[in-house]
Amino acid sequence: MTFSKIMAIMEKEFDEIMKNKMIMGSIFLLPLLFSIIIPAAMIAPIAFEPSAFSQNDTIKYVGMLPGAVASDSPQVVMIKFFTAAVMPLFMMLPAMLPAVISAYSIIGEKRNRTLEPLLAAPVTEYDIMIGKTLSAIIPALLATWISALLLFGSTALITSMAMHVVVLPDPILWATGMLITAPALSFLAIMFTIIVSSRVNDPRVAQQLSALLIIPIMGVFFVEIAGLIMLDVRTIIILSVFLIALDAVALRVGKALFEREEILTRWK
Amino acid sequence: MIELKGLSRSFGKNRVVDNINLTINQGEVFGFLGPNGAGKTTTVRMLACLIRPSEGTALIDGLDIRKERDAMQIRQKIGMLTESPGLYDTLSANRNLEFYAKLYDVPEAKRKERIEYYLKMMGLWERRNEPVGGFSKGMKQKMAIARCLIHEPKVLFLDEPTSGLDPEASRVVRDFILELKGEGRTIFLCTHNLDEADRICDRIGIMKSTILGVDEPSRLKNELYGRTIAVQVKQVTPALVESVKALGFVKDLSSDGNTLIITVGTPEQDNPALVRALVSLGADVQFIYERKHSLEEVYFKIMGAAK
Repeated sequence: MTFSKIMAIMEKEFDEIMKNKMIMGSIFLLPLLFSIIIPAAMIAPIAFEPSAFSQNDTIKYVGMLPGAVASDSPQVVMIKFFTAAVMPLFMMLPAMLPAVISAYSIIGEKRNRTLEPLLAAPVTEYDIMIGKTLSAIIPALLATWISALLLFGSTALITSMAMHVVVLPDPILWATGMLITAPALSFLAIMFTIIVSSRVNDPRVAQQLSALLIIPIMGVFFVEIAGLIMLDVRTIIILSVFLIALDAVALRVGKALFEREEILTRWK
Repeated sequence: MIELKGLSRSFGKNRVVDNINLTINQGEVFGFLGPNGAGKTTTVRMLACLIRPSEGTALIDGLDIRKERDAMQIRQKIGMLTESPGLYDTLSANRNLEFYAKLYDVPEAKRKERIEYYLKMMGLWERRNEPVGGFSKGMKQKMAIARCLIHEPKVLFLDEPTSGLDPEASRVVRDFILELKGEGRTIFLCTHNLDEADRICDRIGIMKSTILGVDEPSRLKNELYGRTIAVQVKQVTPALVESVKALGFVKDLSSDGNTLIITVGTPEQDNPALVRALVSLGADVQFIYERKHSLEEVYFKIMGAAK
């Protein structure tokens, strides 16, 4: 494993990403939509129209919401509830974006027949895998984190304008999700794409298959919104540990598939 | 420089490469000929440490392709031109070469100089900042050649280097291969172009899973056909044919219209006697010349014998 070669692969990948409108569109548009639509659709109505929510709802959410206190106003409780509940939705970003990037990166090489000269060069399979993984993870995580910061900013702005008080999403909950769960999820998405890429030749198909990862995330979101469960920091850490274990398994499978012999003789 | 020792490779029950034993010397251009599916690309991939042999091994500059610790050094020493150029279409010519220069550890101080040298040599310097996706097939092939030379390898594996090129570009590539040979590099050339192999290879190996014949093109021709003289006379008669056949130094004879095609051992020695005999037999000799066999004839004869 050589740092300079990993860097060279990463730089090349970034150069290609910058020239791919589809990827750039996904990196910029999805996070922007998340950080605009969620505050506009969920936070602004509560902040500006508190009468739309009943006292019963508030009592129910106070009971569920970690960190909520009975003295909080119904508006604050509801805002805290929604900003906690949308976190799984934000987890779609670290799952989707790396899949989009790595699908183009790996299947793109396969389709353009650039893999063989690359494999003939004095680089290890780990150099290539790490270079490609980092080049997919870094922009995806940056986009996710910026998007989360925008959510914090817009929530603060809306609440200060409507309620003259700054209400923020739970920082510990979000930090745990963004710094532990999101990278673990991104890595899993990339390994999953590598595994899928060995069998398909169309980046869109690889993305669609990788999008299967989103199904459980969406499930958690809907269950939270329905008020059935609420993720707290402990649950998120347990989920992250489970994800890291899955990452380890996926890395083993991905590494076994990402070998010169395997790529040149078995990949379709 | 390259030594193949019983090199074999099977895919399932299909033995694609079977027991190849071969030595290729430093500075030699070795042509590897064979039909599609003959195992040429598989052999090259094994030599480039891309896939493992099922049996046997090969040494490249003393390094064993089967040993994991040697594989990385072998990759550093060789340059490989794959069947398709395999360039990053969205990146510029300059960036494509720069990427590979980094992978091959070309020192930073030399990188720009080398890229400029090879791009100029290939006539692509003026277009260095353009994405290679817009290049013609010939330009892409030249780029791929520049890429496999960027680290100045001792050994080059070239898989169909002139495939799909127009005659002018093919000539540029052929001349360039000869130039590389002049620099002492060992070149392993897989090609379907028999004329090209005949012109630039020191030796050729004809392959169909295993090696069917290896030698210098001219010697292979002589071994298979002997040296043949064509004598055009005014009229070929059965009596003339029989009389010439009876000459002790004539190994074979056939006629084609008014031309006698005669195989002799050593034309320099036998031709004067042949001409004297023909004149004494009353034949009016119009032309006499050595009939050259093409490598294509040799190829098909060897392949035909292998069937």
